[in-house]
Order: sequence, then structure tokens, then C-alpha cells
Amino acid sequence: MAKARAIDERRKAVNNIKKITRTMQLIATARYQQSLGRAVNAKPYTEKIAEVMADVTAAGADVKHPLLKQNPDVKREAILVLTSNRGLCGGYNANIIRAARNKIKDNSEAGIETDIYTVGKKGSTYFRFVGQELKKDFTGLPDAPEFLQVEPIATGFMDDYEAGVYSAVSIVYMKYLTAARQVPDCLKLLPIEQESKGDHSAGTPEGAGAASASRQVQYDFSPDPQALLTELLPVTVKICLFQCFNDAVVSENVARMVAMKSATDAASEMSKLLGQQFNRARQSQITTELLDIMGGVEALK
Amino acid sequence: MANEKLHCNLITPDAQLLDCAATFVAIPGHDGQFGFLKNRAPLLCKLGVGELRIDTDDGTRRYFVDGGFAQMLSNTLNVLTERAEAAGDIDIASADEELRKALSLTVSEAGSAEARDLAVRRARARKRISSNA
Repeated sequence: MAKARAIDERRKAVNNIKKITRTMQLIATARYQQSLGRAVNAKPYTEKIAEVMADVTAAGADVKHPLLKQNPDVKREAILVLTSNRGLCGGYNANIIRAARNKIKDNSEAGIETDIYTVGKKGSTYFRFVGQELKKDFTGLPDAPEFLQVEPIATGFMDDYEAGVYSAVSIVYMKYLTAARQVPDCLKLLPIEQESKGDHSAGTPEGAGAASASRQVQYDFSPDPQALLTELLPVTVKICLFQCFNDAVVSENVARMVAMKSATDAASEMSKLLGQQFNRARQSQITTELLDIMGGVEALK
Repeated sequence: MANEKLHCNLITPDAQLLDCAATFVAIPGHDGQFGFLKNRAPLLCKLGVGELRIDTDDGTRRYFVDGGFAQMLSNTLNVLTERAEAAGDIDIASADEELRKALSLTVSEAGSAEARDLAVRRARARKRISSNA
């Protein structure tokens, strides 16, 4: 009886695990919808800021802002690694950490030192484990941070960059492309790449069209475009970082959803297999007992 | 005048707080208040800290706005700010507390005299709006 009972107990354990993973999958699905909603809510702000930015540049504002200039003499880059606080989300954190390691390796080959900043427990635990020094670990952020919680991080990086501490600031995070596809990405936050200006000089049909369309609007500026642009640049950096956080949160939930789904499926399969094994073991036990009895009867004859 | 309306959007990175028609909107500019009626000329301006007041058919609504930008274009006013709160949502006790803290800040704690001034002004505006609500 011992073997059949052991199998049965194992099957019960597997079923319990299945219940847990199934619940976690449902929670991740709900969180995913929620985080996607937040990411969508952030869209209008981003778009409008970009529009205002384009209008101001079209008005001929051209500034020598410290966030635009390169720091070529500095050989030190900051990377911010966005990981999750909790595990059980498949290869999510491993992929991000691998991307971060590649970045650090590329930098050291190019003779650039890298300062590591982390968000999320998984990232900081990993870098501590391998003995890499962390410049700063942003703990205490909730799983889905709000703009006002992300903003100080961006401000800190901008201050450091303006002070000439870093030649660049990059973010390593999981970029959300579609529900089925997320890739680890390394985004350069600072210096700000002057895309809009590039478009103007390149004179692509769409770029030129949009530029001339917005130029037709004669805005009253208050203060002057130059000053407005100086104010706008930090905002674009903040919103860019905020979007990375949003992407990371959405990707994390997708990753957890997928991981928990395959765990649930695996548990179902295992439970089925154990059920078959249990039946077989029970049957063979019954057969053995029957044979015993029949043997006894034969012996008495 | 009553049906002469402009459209007003109040947008923060976390949400869109307002998306409605208004007869009049007052916003806190960086150097004073701006008032908007229908057909105002296009304007791009920087915002200061203060109160956004919007008159709609359902009455007047007030919001606390902390910096940002405003864009007026073809009868649509877009107010982009990092932080906005409806006047009714501001907790008076917390606004008091914030002001008390801001006033007791030393310049070295705040980083600079401007930063301290800004904190005090922000707290004062928040308190004023919350008590007006």
C-alpha cells in the first residue's frame, strides 16, 4: 500500500501547487490589464509634450542646454537597471540582467567605467551576489510607481549629468512591444538626442510637412521660446524615464502571466500522470493480495 | 456668452483629469494669471504654482496645479502638468502640515533659497485652494 499512498500524496501536493500557480496567473492577468491602462493613460501627456516641443523648436528656439551637450572627456556612464521586486516571472529578470552585463562589458572594452543603479530587489540582489558595487539601489518603490515617485530619480540623473559626472545615462529595461513580445532594451536617457533638429535638416517629407504645419501657427510665447525649451527638456527626460518604468511594469506582468500559465499546464499534466501511476500501483497491489489469498487456499487443499 | 465655449484638457502623466467644455478658464502662469475665453489667440506658456479655475455649465471647478505648460490652440486649451489635484481632494490637514514643514525648512536643507521659496509657495497655494473648496 505504501507506494500507492506515496503517489497519491504527491498528486495532492501537485494539485495544490496548481491551484496556487493558477491564482497567480489570474492575478498577473488582472495586474497586466491595470498596468496597460496606466501606460495608456500616460500617452496623452507624452504626445502633448512632444507636440509642444515640436512647436517650440519650429519657432526657432535653439539652446545650448547642458542636457544636450556631450561630455566627451568623462569616461563614466550610469546605467539604471529596472528589475522586478518579486520572482516567479520566468526569464524576465535574467534577461534584463544579461542585457545589463553586456552593456557593462561593452563599456569596459571601450574604456568607460560604469556606475550601476538598480530598481527592484532582484537586480540589487544579483549585483550584490556577484560582488559588483552598486552606486545606488532605489528601494521602496511600489511595483507600479507613479510619476511623482519616478521624477526624483530623473532629476538626480540630470543633476549628475549637468555636473559632468557622467558621459551618458542609460536605462536597461524590458521594452514592451506587443503582448506576445518584449525585448530587453538599453535606452540612452542622456544626453538628449536632438531628433527633431535632425528631422528638420534631413527634410523628410513627413518631417518637413509637420514642421511647416506647426510653423503656420503664430503662438504667443510666455516666456520666450528659448526659455520654454530650457524648461521642456527636463520634462521630456522625466517622461521618457516614466515610460520606461511603465513598460517595465507591463512586461513584468506579461512575463509572470506566461510563466504561471506554463507552470499551471505542467502541473495539470503531472497530476494526470500521477493519477495513472496511482491507479496502476493500486491495481497491482490488489492483484498481489488476491494472489496471496489464492495461494493460501491452494495450500489448504 | 454662455454657449461660447472652449475645450479644456488637464493632463498629468498618470491620468487625464479634465476633458470638457468651459466658458472660462483661469490658469496660474509663471508670472501671473492667464484667463482664457473662446477664440483666444494661440499661446504657449509655462505654468507656475497655483489654482486652475474652470467655469463650466455645471458650475466652477478648482484644481491645484504645480508647474507645467499650457497650450492654447484652435479653441482647445491643453494644460500639461506633473501634478494636479482637484480642490475637493486636497486634505486640509495634510496641506497645513506641508506648509508648516515648508516654513521650517532651512535653506541648506532645501538646497537653495529658491527651492525653499518654491516649497513654501506650493504649500501656501495648496492650502489656500483646499480651504476655498
